[in-house]
Amino acid sequence: MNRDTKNNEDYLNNISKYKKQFSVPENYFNSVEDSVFSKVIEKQLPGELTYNVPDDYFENFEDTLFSNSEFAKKEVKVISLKSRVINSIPTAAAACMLLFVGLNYFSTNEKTSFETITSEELELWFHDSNLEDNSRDLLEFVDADFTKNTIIEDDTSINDDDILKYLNTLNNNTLLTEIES
Amino acid sequence: MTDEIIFIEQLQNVRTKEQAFRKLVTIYKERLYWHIRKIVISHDDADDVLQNTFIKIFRGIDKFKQESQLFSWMYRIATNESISFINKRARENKVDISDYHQQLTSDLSSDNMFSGNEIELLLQKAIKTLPTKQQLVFNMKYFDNLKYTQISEILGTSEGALKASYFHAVRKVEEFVKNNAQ
Repeated sequence: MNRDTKNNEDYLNNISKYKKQFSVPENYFNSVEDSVFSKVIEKQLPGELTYNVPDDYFENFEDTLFSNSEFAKKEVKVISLKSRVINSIPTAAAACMLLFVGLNYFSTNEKTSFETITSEELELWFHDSNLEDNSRDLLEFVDADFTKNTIIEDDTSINDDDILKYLNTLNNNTLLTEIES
Repeated sequence: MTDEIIFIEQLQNVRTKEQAFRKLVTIYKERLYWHIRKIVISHDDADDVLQNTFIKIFRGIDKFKQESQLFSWMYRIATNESISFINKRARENKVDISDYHQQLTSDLSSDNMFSGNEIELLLQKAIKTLPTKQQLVFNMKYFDNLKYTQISEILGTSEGALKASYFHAVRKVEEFVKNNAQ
């Protein structure tokens, strides 16, 4: 009998010694005293909360809450200043580019005059406008832009030095072509 | 999927949000009210804070990550709202926060929203002599019977620290009541 009991004890000891089956929260035993004494003192205090609320307060609470003007606003999406600034960067950059392009290409201080148009631009416009095939248009164009006075004024303003300078700017091949024609 | 997870999904879904929120208000209004009332004392103030709490919950529920229980998260909002309210009032009245806490209970005996006897009034006065965090721990443990694990989630304090805090609180309260009882 005693031997059996001893065997059982040994068997059980082997299980409990080498296998910790239950655990306690960390620092549990450090706070046991606090918990016990708290309970003891609690028993001596009045346990009821004795505040009152108006009649039907909780029954009508939902109505009050949902009529609250702050609640009526519901979800107002708050955008932080930082994210707003970050989000505005591409728009601001695009606006700057447009402004830059606009200032440089569309609002020049120089007035467009016939003198500022290069011969290449004129030729291109001439081709694009199909003026070659329409002699009436060509005539109108000449009449509108090369009035008699303009030509006379231009003629009188040209002196020999200007002609010499002009000839020096031309390369020889162009000059030969012009002489031949 | 637990009931709480399904409920949170309904609260976060635009189509079901309003209906689910009404249900949430019905379930939690009284518990949150009493939690707030014990901090701000006056019914009118508690009503204001409770409404603000639910408005914050409604606006913030979409961002609720379920890292804690819904109940703990709402309690935390209610606690923060109540403390902010008290601090604001103290600043407006240009008094120290601990003095303001004691002012709150000074007129309780003539408040028709308080029906406690002398010892219950003393208990309320005793609680208001505690530092804010000890007041919170005392109220949640003593009146609301919350577990330390729940209080820990709400206040973000370890359970060991809460037990010590509660022990100090009850000792101070007992001392105050004994010293002031006639």
